[in-house]
Amino acid sequence: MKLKKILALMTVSLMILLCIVSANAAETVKVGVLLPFSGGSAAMGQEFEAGMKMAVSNFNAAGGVKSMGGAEIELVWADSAGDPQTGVTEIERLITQSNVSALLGPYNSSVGASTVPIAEKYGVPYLITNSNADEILHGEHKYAFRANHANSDAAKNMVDFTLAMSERGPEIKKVAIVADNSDWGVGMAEALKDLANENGLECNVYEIFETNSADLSPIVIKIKQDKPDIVYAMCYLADAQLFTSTMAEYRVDSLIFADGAGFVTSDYLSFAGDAAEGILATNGWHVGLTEYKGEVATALNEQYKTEYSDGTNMNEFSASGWLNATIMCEIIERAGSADREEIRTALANFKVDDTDYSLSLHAFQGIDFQEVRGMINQNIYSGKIITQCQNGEYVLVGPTTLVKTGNFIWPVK
Amino acid sequence: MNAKSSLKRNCQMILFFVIAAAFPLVFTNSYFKQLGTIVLLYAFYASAWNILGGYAGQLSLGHGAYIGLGAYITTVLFSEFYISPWLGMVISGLMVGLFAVAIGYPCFKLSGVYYSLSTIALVNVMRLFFIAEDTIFGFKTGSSLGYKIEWRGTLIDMQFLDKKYYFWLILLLLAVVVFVSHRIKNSKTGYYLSAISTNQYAASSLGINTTYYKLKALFISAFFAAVGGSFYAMFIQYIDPASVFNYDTSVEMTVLAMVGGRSTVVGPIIGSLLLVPLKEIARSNLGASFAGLPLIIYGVILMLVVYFLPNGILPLFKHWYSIILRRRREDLSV
Amino acid sequence: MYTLIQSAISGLLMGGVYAIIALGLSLIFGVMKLVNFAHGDFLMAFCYVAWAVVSFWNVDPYLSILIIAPISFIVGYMFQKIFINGILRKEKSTESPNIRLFTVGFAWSLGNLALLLFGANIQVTNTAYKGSTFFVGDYMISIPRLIAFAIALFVTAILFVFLYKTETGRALRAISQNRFTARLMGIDVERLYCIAFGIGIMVVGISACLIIPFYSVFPTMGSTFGLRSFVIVVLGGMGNLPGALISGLFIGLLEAFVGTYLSTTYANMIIFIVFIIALVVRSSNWFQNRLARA
Repeated sequence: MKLKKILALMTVSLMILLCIVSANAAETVKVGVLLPFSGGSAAMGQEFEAGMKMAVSNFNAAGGVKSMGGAEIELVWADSAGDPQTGVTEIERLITQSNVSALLGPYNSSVGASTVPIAEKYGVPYLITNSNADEILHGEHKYAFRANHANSDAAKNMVDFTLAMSERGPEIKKVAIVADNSDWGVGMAEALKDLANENGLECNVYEIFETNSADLSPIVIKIKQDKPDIVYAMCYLADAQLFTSTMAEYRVDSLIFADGAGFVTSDYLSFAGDAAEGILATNGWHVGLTEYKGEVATALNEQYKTEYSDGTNMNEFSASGWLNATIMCEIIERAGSADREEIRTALANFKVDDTDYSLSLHAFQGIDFQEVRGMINQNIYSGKIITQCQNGEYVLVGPTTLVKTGNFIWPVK
Repeated sequence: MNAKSSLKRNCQMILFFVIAAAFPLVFTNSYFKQLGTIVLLYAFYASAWNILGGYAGQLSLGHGAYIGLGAYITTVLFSEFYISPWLGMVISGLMVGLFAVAIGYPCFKLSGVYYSLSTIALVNVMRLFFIAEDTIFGFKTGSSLGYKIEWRGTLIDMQFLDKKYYFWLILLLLAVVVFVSHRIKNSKTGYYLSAISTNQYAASSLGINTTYYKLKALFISAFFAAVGGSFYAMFIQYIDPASVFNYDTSVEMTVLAMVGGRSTVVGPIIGSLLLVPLKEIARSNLGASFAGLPLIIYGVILMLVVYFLPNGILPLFKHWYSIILRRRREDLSV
Repeated sequence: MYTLIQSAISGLLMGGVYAIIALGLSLIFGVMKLVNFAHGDFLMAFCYVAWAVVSFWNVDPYLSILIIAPISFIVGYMFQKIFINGILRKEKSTESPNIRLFTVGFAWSLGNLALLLFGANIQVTNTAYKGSTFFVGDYMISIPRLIAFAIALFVTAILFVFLYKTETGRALRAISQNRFTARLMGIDVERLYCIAFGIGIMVVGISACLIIPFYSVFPTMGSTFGLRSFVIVVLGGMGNLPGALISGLFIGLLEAFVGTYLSTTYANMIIFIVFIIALVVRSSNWFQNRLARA
């Protein structure tokens, strides 16, 4: 009996304590960040966090928002758990309880889809970070913007590069499409299928599998029979490893061309070993870009290596976090206020070319939010780069408009 | 159970709803209204589950199947046929109820554990089906990419700018399901169900048509689950298979009802009022820095409650309440 | 022809893996009628332990069984003794939903504890067996999966012998038939429950050692294998160990054939549908009569 009383008392006090902890103070410009810190995408969430923290801390150290007398920017974090409903609850909290002036996030496309209308309703500018589904920016809206690529951009990059490889020869006639059943996987698979059809690439194997499958042999057996030249793959962590190793076990000649994700995490290559040799992967960013972008990029990567990670380079998630947080800092500087409307206007008018500081890391030609392919407020210069695993490391090989050395290896034996 | 105590209990219930209705007027912050609505939604789910799981003793771990189906049907009716969700949720409730009975009829021949497993299979099949198929019965349901619900913003469309209307709506729905639960409990159906739940074979040997009553409980339970799903769709305005045909939510409903005290009317509500805010607040404060910690706390509390309070928390509260009453009576008599 | 045979090989080998994972669950089900919802999470936990042992102490994954098996037996034994027996004392039967609820809470806690401790990233165990194969003509046979298959058969055989040829095994079977009479016969039911649970979890521990050479370890891996285990146990019959083996192989083959000839999405759905059908058929009167007559 006594134990039960204690138990109840503990539960109630814990709840009260948590309520107190959640109260906030401080006079800064608050930017809410919605990211997955639990659930399947938690690893990515942590990388974004690191990139964003670096961007903001650098900005604050350099004097903060000078047009506001050196006010600091404060990032307010929220865990979306990768789930649309949780995302909606947390974004409400950021907007109404933490009173943020703007929003960043949320990485998962489904969370993006569910939270954009909320930001719209309250009139909070929302710089969509990496939620790449085109659909998020469809329909009438004013407050959501995206500097990163859309799935349709990624698909176009992949097919364009495939055609470039085919042109140099040998010819590529057949592709296969393999994706997990997440919104990203299915969205990319559909976009790739359409583009493949448009460009005369035959596609017989089109497989959607359950995320975190126990066995991918049935798909690999099909691929082995069909003998496509290229296999477009959309997989997260465990599936990327399983697919790579299964393809190697069955000695399938087709070359994997992945849309980033599980294939470009920091551990993928070391885990996959020789089986990953020659694999192509799109990426939002790669350390090879520092050669093309120059000293600032190299310095930023060095800072990240020493201060924010245990010696590993930046990757697409940390770089994207840095990009979007830096854009946000610049926007707030231009707006000169913490007012949501003014920040939104500054975002809408943000037109820069590739010399802008925010594009120190990425190879976009610029940033310009326009209406394109049915999406409103999408950066028309966004896109992904192509890397290839050569001698155990990813090397920048595309797009061919950027990398003109033709250093991609095709065919891969 | 005399007239006076049941009158007192009815008054307590009404008092609860009146106080709850005042909640969004006191806590005008939108986040609290959101949180409150979610808590009540889970209380609603748990109460709907309880009709089958508590009263009839059929431990369904796949109620998500009915929630999801209700959400999709109402969404399609709303988007394609412009049918108001007020009507839509009743239609989808009836359709899902019939579906549940059709599937449930063979499944009820299964004893306890086997039945639970079949419900797990059901919710997963529904989820996989809705992911695999982009278009179902000719309606574009969007597969993994989800179905966004258009904002039309009127009362007829069950879309409100101010969150407090959603809060009152789910409170109203909760009142309805509580009323229905109460009526079932005190009716012939309720007595038969509790007999079936205690010992199905003895009940059937007494001449009770166990299949009929179990199916009746299933129909009502699935009907309300579907209504809950319809509310969810109009509230979040975005549904996708993984979120609405959700095994974790199905288990959670069970947990809330059982921790609160199943086979009671208010048990599910008590369970939800205690556990859901705890989980949400833990996640908001700890989720970002300590990934996974909120659910660990949730799991540990569940284990503690199951271990020390096997009949749920409600009997404990009743015990405390009666102790307080007895003390007062003693004071008065001196 | 190639597709047929290669699918069959791959399906059988995976089936063996599924079978041994499900074996422990079948035993626990059979003896105690207890549904352990944390089954998949126990697997995940031991995968982390096995990965750590293999990676940091450079132990051969199959030799690590010698370390992991006794540890997992003790974990299972203590789990039953401390937690479940405690709840059982207040409940009338092991079919009580409270025990199921307890294992649900445990599953949540365990899964998220792994997330907290290890993060969401996957861990791959680098051993000599990783990706190793041999070819019989055109047909590929994956060595780690073959070893897992072989050990699955071996363990099933040993457990079968244990159940039918030893005193303890006989006592366990007695309890599974009627626990009250068994107690009257002088069998210490509570202690034997602990042994049963211990053995069940020990088999899970062994399976973990078998999986890590070819499968990544991550906090949510429990659900994939856990759900399959439930399907297999029901198909094969509670407590029927050879049945679990055969239905494991069946599920492996079904997944392979449907996946290759139709699509993997349908493979998952069909497994659940087969599951529901099997459940219904198993408990239908027709089937019960046939069992009684057999």
